[in-house]
Amino acid sequence: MNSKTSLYIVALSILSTTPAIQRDGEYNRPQTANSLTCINQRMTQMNFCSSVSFVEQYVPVTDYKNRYKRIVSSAKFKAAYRNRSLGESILIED
Amino acid sequence: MEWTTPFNDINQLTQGSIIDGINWGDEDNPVSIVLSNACDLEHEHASYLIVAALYPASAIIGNSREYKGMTHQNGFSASSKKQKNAVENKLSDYIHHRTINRYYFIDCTASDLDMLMMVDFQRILSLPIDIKNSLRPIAQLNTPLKEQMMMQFVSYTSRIPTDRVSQEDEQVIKNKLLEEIIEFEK
Repeated sequence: MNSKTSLYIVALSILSTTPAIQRDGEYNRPQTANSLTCINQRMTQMNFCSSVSFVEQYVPVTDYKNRYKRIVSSAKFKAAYRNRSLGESILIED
Repeated sequence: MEWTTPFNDINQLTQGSIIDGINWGDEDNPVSIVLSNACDLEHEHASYLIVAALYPASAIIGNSREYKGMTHQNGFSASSKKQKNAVENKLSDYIHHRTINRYYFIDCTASDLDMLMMVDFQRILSLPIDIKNSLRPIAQLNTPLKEQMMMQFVSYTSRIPTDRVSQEDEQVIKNKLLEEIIEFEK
């Protein structure tokens, strides 16, 4: 087994054991743990076939506070809301 | 008083439903609230789902020009008692929905959100109704708050600009009014 083949096997091993990257409220990738088969039989000497699947996976969200911490500290939020008026008010009750 | 109730079935999506999964095009997307008419959703007359974004009330108010104008430059803690009272009165206006403006306050602490939120009537999105199946239900804004929110949304978006009297004329009117009030008090 040459060094290039070894490198592919190491990369494949890492991908196959890495859990999906979880970030609140976003579509994440990759979900590889259950989609590993083989890329190249000749290269890996494996006796099964397959591909690595990069599937969009929606991760359910529970940690809204951390997500909103990132949102309100972002440059986009500050540009939209910092030093902006709350708007003209129409009094409806006192 | 309960602001929201649990909402678990996306097939029950209606006006005032608080949902997650709308792509606002941001790196981290805000949670949304449905503005679409309840009848349109119920009878499948809606081709598009209209939503508004929810943001933490503290971030909206704390970043605002009005808040910064009424507090000490080093923030609320360094403000005088008079300034603190002014801020508290401003917060009361929002909590009790005393005024109609760009934002509508909702206490979402009883839901998974667990935060005090503002609906931003300027951040609105319309998406094909099919997106409904990919949304995550969070909570439902209770009646009559959802109707009140819609009333404020409609009032806010239907404001009509009118000419204003000049500052000089305004002062003349104020002086006349005050004279009459003083006369009335005698």
